[in-house]
Amino acid sequence: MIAYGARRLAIALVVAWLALTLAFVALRWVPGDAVDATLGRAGLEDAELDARRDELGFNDPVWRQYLVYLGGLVRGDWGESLVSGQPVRDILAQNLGPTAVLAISALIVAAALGLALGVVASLARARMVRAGAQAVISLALSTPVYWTATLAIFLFSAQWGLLPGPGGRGLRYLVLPMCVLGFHTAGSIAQVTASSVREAAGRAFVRTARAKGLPPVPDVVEHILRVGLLPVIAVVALQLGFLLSGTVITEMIFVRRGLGRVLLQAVNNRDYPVIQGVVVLSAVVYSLANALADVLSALADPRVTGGEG
Amino acid sequence: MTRSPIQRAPPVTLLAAGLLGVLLLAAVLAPRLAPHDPRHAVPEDQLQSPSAAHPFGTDYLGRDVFSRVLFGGRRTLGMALLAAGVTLLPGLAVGVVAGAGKHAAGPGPWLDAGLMVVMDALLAFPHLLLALVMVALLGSGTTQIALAVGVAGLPAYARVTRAAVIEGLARPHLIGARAIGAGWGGVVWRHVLPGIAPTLLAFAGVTLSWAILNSAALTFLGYGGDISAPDWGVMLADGRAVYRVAPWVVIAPGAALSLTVLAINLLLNGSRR
Amino acid sequence: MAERTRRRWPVLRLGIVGVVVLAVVAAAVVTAAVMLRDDEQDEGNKIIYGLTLNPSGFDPHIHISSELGIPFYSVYDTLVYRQPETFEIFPGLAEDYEISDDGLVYTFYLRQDVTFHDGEPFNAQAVAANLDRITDNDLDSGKARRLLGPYTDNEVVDEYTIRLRLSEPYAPLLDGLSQVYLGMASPRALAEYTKNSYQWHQVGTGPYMLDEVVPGERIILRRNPDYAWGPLYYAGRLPDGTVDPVWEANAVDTIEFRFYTDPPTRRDALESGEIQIVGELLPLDAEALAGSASIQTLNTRVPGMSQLFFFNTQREPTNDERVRQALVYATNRTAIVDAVFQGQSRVAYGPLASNTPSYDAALENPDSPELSYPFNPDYARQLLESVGYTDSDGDGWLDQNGERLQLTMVFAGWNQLPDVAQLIQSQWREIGIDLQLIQAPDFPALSEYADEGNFDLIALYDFGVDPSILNGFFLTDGARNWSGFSDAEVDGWLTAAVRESDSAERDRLYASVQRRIMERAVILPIRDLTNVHGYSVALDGVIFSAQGWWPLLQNFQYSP
Repeated sequence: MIAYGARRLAIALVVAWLALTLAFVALRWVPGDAVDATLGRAGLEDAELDARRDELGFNDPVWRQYLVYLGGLVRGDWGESLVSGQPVRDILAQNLGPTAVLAISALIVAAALGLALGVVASLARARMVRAGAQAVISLALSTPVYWTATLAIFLFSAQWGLLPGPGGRGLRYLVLPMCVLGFHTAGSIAQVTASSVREAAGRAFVRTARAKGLPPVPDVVEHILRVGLLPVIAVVALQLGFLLSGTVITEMIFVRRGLGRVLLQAVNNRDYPVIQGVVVLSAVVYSLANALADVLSALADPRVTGGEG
Repeated sequence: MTRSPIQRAPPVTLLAAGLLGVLLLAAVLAPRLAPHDPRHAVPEDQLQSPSAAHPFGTDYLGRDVFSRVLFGGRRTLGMALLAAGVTLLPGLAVGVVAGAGKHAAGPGPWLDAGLMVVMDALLAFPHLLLALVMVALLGSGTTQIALAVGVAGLPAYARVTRAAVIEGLARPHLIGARAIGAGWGGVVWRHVLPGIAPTLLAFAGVTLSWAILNSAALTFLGYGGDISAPDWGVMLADGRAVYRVAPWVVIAPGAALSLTVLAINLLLNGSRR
Repeated sequence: MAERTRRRWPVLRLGIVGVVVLAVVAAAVVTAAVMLRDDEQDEGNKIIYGLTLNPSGFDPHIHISSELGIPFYSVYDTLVYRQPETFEIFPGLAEDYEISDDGLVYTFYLRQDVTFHDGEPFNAQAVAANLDRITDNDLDSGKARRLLGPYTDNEVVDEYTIRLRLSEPYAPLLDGLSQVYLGMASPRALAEYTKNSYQWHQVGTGPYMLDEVVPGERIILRRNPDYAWGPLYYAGRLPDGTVDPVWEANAVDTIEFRFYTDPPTRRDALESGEIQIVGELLPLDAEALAGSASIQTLNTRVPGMSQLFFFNTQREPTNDERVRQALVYATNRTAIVDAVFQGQSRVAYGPLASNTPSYDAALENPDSPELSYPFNPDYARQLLESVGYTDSDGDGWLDQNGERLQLTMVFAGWNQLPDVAQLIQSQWREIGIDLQLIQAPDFPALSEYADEGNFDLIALYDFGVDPSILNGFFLTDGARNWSGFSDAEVDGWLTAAVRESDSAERDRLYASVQRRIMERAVILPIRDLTNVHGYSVALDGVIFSAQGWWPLLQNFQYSP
């Protein structure tokens, strides 16, 4: 098990390294370089631009730039914003926390809501209740975050005054964005849960138990735990990608600080070092989370380690 | 006593198929169906509530929301279909080559490993984030968005195709065919692809619904280029400024977007059973 | 699908997974709680102020955004001030000043009772350090350097006297010195931090001290308890120099600035009480809030250039004066102001907003259509026809030699420009002009279009009390002459006007400039720029500097 964990972690690190290499290559492909894109627009003379390129190492051969870049990443030097001159590391450090809080709290909402919806959609006795749950799941999967977020602010804040409006710090401000983002993430989790539970409920031993007249409830609960947990872990890790994407729009609409807004502004400013920083960071986090989920799944069910598909 | 697939399909699936058909038809026929020029502004008529003349009301500049939703579908769905195409064709190619190469002789396994390394690296970026970076590189505009969203969906599709091809190749009768000496290409083309077509088709549906939501998200964020072109994402973004007095401005494009994705999802659910 | 065998899970494994999952959740909750705990230190009487733009930088000596002045106009004092209503020059850090007869030497006599927030004394050396910093080429000053005009160097006469020398007379110098961009910073702080990092640690002499900056999230100012050297119209001091107890009772001790860059969020935040004041409300939101019992609105006019589009006079077809004139005639500005701005501002008739000194009201005269351009689509069509544009193929678009009359308009997302542009697009469509719209994501991108001349019309304008704001835009070799306009007489008038100290003569010169610009249709003016603020009824004394953008935070009174 430890060997598997180590191997999975190693794979994750290799993937993360590949991802950041890809980001490096892509951002060097930009027509005109980053200096041209940002400083050239500020009306600097050609000689000044060239001096600045020298300073940033853009005149070096690509392989050397790459080595310098990798070395910098390891030492914690992620470059500087071309716009504000702030170290990228500082920008990331200041904004990682708020995004993590939003993403994790949304994930908790999503896991709870998703499991509940999934179970209801698959096991509820009344057909109408099952259909209702299924409808909510479909809604979560097919409405865009920006549309629900607008609606949520309008209803809960502007219309009913139950929760604070956009902007601001503190737990009260987290509730609405967390629920909106969590609701959409819950869709996939519920779908996976529902289909696993349906599969489990259809299995022979449950039918046998029912035939014997035993109350099927404990069995079902056991199965929800067993078949529910595994896919949820896997889906939750996958959903982290959706969540990181979702934070971009959620942060914008709810005026929250975080990596999403940093990325949007950097994209608008073509502030490549910042874009690269955000993207590399999320790629590393995402790959590690996937690895962690695999290891957890393996802990829960040793068959997973069996072979690679 | 055999019933056709249509007769066996649950009513929800039929409904979804019908809905999707109507929405697609509306998008295609927008120029014929739209009662007004979608860009024609009549400032005196700003924010009119729905009426016979304007079934979905008018927006802040007095443009007909119904016409804009029709034309918007054309642009949004066109963009998403293009994006799905950008995902599917290379995704399919990469997946088939890698999947077939995995157990093949010669450079096959290396090809598989190489392709999958690139796909895994791409897969390490969250979907919309990857698309956003692509937009930063390519610039704003519908073609750029379609490319960005398409590439963002590529690794997942390649992965799914590859897994399906490997599973398909592992079937006993194919192992036999290979033993007889049938060519790889022929085996994959004649025997494997037909078998896994349903899986690939279903995932194509998933890809399309992602493409719709993500392209609309990017135009919502303002990367769609021409701001006066009607587009569901742009309409939702514009509508946020006025939705309190004129909710129809956001309800119409929002509902169109959700219904389209919902119809695709329901169809997929139906086909899985 | 492989058949799954049913097997009992070892309880242990399930337990481990459960514990790990629980631990992750618990850790997350604890982190969240810790991170989100409101640090409830005593902040006194506090308000939250919504900013509408997140500028790329906050150093007034370097950066050009008007938004940075909202907090920092109150962190700094300037040598002179402009009275918010009369625009008169008032003494500031300089008690008095003298201008030599040839207009080349300005001598400032400084106040002797001023200290910076970090305890540094304010004196002539401090002023010299600031001027030297701004004129240092390595600083890449975007606006401050420009405001100093033909300034060459300074001379510290004694501890509290400094001379500024110019290479030629420059009437707008005092106006420049009254703006936040030439605010006086502590020499010690300037030396302590780098060019880039000083913006997060700014130290001035003003009524508010910078306490904390979290880029992109908040800026916190605290009241400077020692502040006693403000201009006469700053509240807080009785005539004998002691603190006014009535004012102090409701003075704002802490001001937190947050960013509301997305316009629809501003009203939400205001109504739910998250913030006490915010600017640039959407016109519809301002209208809705005007009837509210808890929020009041204030429409501030911003002097300087009107909200306008420059024509590109360097490329076809807008290099033809008649085409430009036709386009101005084809634009229904009243409809734009009524629909987009809900009638909350005034139609503009020239390059200057009507509340700017030297504004020429003759431009509005309906009897001189060559200046006032009343909406007249028929005449516009005739003009275009005289140039050779007709709808020869009957497709509804004007064309010439088989080429459609197609124009490109570039603008940014602020001041409702996307709506303005789309309305113009629709108006011009009526007479067969095909207008393509390009929205630039930010200021640098917009300037890029301008510099490359990659546009037929572009929306770029500046603000300021002094009409010399026009010089950079309309001089043949002006740094921001994006239209490529060149008129020897205009050059002469503009050059003479900045050297001229007599205000009647300046008015005459600028009137000639404004008329010529409109006669030759160099610009498409839309409306006078206004900034509509919404603020809590518990907030009082809300007033803005002469420049229109910057609040006098010292005068704010908050009684929740």
